[in-house]
Amino acid sequence: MKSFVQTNFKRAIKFGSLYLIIGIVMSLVISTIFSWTASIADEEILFISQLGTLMLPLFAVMGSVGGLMVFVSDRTKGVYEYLIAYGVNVYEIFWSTLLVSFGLITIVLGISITGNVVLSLLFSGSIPFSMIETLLIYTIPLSYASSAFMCMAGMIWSSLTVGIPGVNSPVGISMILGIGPSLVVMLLGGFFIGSSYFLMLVGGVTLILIVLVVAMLVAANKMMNRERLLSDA
Amino acid sequence: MVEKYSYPSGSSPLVLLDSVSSGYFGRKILEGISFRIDEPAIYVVLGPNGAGKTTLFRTLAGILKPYSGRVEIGGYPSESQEARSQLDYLTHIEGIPEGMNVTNALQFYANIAGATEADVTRVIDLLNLKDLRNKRFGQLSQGQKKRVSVARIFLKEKQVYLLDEPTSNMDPKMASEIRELVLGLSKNKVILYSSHNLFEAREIGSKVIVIKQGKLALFGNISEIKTEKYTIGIRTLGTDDVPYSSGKEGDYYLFELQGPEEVPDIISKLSEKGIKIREVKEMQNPLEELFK
Repeated sequence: MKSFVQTNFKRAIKFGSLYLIIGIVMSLVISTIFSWTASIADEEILFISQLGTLMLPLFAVMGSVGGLMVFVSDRTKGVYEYLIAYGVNVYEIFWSTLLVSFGLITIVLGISITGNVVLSLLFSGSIPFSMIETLLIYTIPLSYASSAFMCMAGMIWSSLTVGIPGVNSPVGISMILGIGPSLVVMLLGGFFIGSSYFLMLVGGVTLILIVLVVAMLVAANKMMNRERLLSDA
Repeated sequence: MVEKYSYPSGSSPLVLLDSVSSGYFGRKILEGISFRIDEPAIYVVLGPNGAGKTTLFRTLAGILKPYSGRVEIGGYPSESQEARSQLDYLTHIEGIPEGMNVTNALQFYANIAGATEADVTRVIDLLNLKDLRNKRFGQLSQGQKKRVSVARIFLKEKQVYLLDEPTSNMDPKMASEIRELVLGLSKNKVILYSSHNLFEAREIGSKVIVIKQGKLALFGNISEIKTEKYTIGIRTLGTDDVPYSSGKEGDYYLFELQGPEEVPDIISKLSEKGIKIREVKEMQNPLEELFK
């Protein structure tokens, strides 16, 4: 299992390299723009200075799509037929893909958060407490939860459907599904940032996403026929 | 740990199917299949397209869960880890992860099957894949892809091998080499080998399992299959005058034979005349005639 996850992690970086690069670059560009805007404003505008960290989950979801791409490719190529014959079960296949996605988010967040911290030091000479708070209670949990939701929904969708190509494919649609919750929290969060409502909003959405992911994982393990993972060829 | 079924005689069958019905998404493809294999040998699984051969292999490999009945490998239920550790499986789908080169693909499966790096090197030598080992799988020809796919089954020694059309898409020379390797593998092993081709079936095995419309039509000796007429087509390399031929259809020179056992004879006669053979194929599937 460990070597399987390691191999697929490397493949996911390669498969989703474009999304990974776009996710990282976009997050850094957006953070630079907002950090600079906040620094030249006449008075402190907390909302603007925090927009970079608020948008990070969107880019984390985008950057982690490589895991789902590997899953769809392996299913199409008939790899899972062999894995099942060797004794790998549906749960292990789904869980390993989630782990790969978590690895990819860690890369995006690691680089983007470091970038945000450096930008904050450059433009304001300090790291505001609110930024650390936002990163810890919003950016990190919501990024992992949204990405896991996107990945799990995509895997189930892909297993239940037959070869839909392009933007309508499970990969394309799931990315929108993954971005959706983060987008809602980000838009509403702008109004509540710094208040206890913000914590409740983020915590609630994160919890719902985690519950959905766990429910989908359990349902897939218990109810999904193994033939769903066979190639359509 | 799954408990082994106990048998009064003390020895479990190597492979057992007892009233097995199986299929996809609730739709039955196999119905009431029963047979028992106690003796190591190559068992050729024959049947026309859509008869249920692949479904049979997937059920034996524990990929499809039977709707009813019992499947055992070495006395263990086919879905148990104990059964899976005794068998290896090859299907007509290559199943090589996208983007990998030949060595990486074999290493990937070696890790999953519990084989070593040395096994990968041995298999690369055995299947003559040295020149291809750093090439991406997607860049290979159909025949080369099939060779890599077949290589997987030689990574680790097992008791039961399920080989679903291992020589499809291969040129006759490579197909013959693969058959030789399978024959070498067969000592004290059970090999279920599916084919469309009666000539190939007779060349490789003496036992036969015939599936017709999802049901077991025959489990016995291959000599029990008789054909009234057997027509093969031979494609040659740059020759216009081919003796013994009864006509031509497209690129194929036709030969009317009594049965597949006459194929090696006609090939050697043509070779003696200096004719280079590119491909030999059955012009009509005699199995389809049999199943009418």
